[in-house]
Amino acid sequence: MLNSKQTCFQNNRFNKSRILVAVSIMILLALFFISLCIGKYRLLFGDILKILNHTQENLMAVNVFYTLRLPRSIMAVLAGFGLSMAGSVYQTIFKNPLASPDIIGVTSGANVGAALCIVLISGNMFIVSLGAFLGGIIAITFVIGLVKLSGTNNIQTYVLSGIVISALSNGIIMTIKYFSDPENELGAIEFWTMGSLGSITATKLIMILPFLLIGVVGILLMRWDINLLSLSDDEGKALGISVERSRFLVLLFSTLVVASIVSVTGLISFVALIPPHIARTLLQKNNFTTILFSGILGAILMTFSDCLARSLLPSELPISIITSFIGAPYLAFLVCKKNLV
Amino acid sequence: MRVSKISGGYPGGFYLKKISFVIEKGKMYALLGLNGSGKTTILKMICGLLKTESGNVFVENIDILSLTEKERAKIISYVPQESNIVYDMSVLDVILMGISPYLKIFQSPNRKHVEQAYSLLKKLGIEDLGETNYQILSGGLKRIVIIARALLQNGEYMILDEPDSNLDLINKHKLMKKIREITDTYQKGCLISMHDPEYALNYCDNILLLREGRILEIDLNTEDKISIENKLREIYGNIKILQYKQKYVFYYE
Repeated sequence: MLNSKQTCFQNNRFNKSRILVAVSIMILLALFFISLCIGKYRLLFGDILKILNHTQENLMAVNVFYTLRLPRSIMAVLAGFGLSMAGSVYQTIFKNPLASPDIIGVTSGANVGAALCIVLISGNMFIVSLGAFLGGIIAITFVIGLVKLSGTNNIQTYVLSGIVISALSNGIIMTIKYFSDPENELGAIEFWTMGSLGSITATKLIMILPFLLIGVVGILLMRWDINLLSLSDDEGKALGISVERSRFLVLLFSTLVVASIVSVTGLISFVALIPPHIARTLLQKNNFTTILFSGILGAILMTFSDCLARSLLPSELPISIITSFIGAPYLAFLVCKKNLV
Repeated sequence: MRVSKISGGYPGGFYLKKISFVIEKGKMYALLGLNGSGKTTILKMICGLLKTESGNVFVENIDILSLTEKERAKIISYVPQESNIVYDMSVLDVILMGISPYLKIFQSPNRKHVEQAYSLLKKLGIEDLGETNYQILSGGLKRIVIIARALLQNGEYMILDEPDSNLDLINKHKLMKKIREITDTYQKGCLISMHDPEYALNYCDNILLLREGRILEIDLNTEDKISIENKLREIYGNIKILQYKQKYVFYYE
């Protein structure tokens, strides 16, 4: 039994988690405002206030703000939130601290979709986005089909099917690259896999918003089932949930989130993997609060990385370069601490 | 609960044929058998976690195997050997999982459920553990927390799969006492699979001996020492039961 000192400490931890969430939201807001200012076309804080008050006379500034800067900053927050939230959900239901949307082939499917569109149709960003979205959805459909076909609906089958689909996708991507025009198309494919928020516009944001919302709301509704899916299948069933159906729905919703994001941003490394770890380490628990907190931390990481991506060099950097250089050292740190869970 | 002629098993593995027995409320039943005799298989079939090929499990004339997981979870609480909780999680969150069968679709536990969980913790004498991380608890406390979860689930019957495994002597006794207490206070029907016949003899009302796919029942409240000894010899061979201060001591020769 614990003594009263320890109990007191436990209660403090409960309050600590509220403070952590509040502080992280404030950091996110601050970063969001900074990201509204940074870019090739510099906007000062005063300019933004004027734009919001409708007193800005410089039409160029107004245009940049509404059609590019604001949608991009919002997208950075949404993408970070969505990817990390989905990552946290994947890590919970796969009971694996290294699980991410790659594990069941969503991202590799999106990659195939994008590459196919670039080579066969055109490099038009709308078409590529649509292709990537469909690619991700088709990949998860194949994974679920394979799980059904195998007749063994457990978590290992999902992982194995994901590996199959990823391997197949890789094969297809290599074939596409081999036959693509090295002058333009190959570059476009490679660039897509490095991710960027550079091409986000208000139209694109509005285009993916419904899918993203359906996914996020779905995850919100399934919050209790996600908790129970972190147990073994037998335990979940004995506690009265229909494990197979719940897992299917949760995977579907989180895939919707991931596919709608990567369809417009391209692949973004580590954002789905690292923030859930930090969230669990800080809160020392894993429930729906942790999943939401992962989302907030992901939004911070993404907004911060995007600020660096647009300001480090005269020309813009792909965002995965930044997230990889932040994510890999953190992962190394986890390995040394042997604190992978 | 009336288990009636259930048959089933694993493809290619062993197979149990037409097992029947009755579990009454307010009584503790020990399911004893050697390794690989099929104890866990029986428990899983009763809980609907492993499909039976034939047979029924009746509770008040309803075949619970034909119910949905949710409905069945309101009747039977299953306590696994060890809960598969991978990440840090507060004891309160673990116990609250027990309320799941009573939640509507898309609902999650509310304040009333939290109060229920806390009053249960208080009854079990572990109220100060609520916000503690489940992962740092000792093996014995972990089992009690999982049993608390089963109590919140409020099934009339509790099925426990080797709750005493990997526990030290003192914790084993503490745990068995707690289960006995719960059985008496809440009038649950408890079916417990276990390895150690001594604990079965001293804490349970009945023993179900599983040998070669057949059940041999011992009623500890009515049968005398000789008869119990003879039945236990069927699976354990040359054994003796000694009595000391109204307790049984199991002696293997």
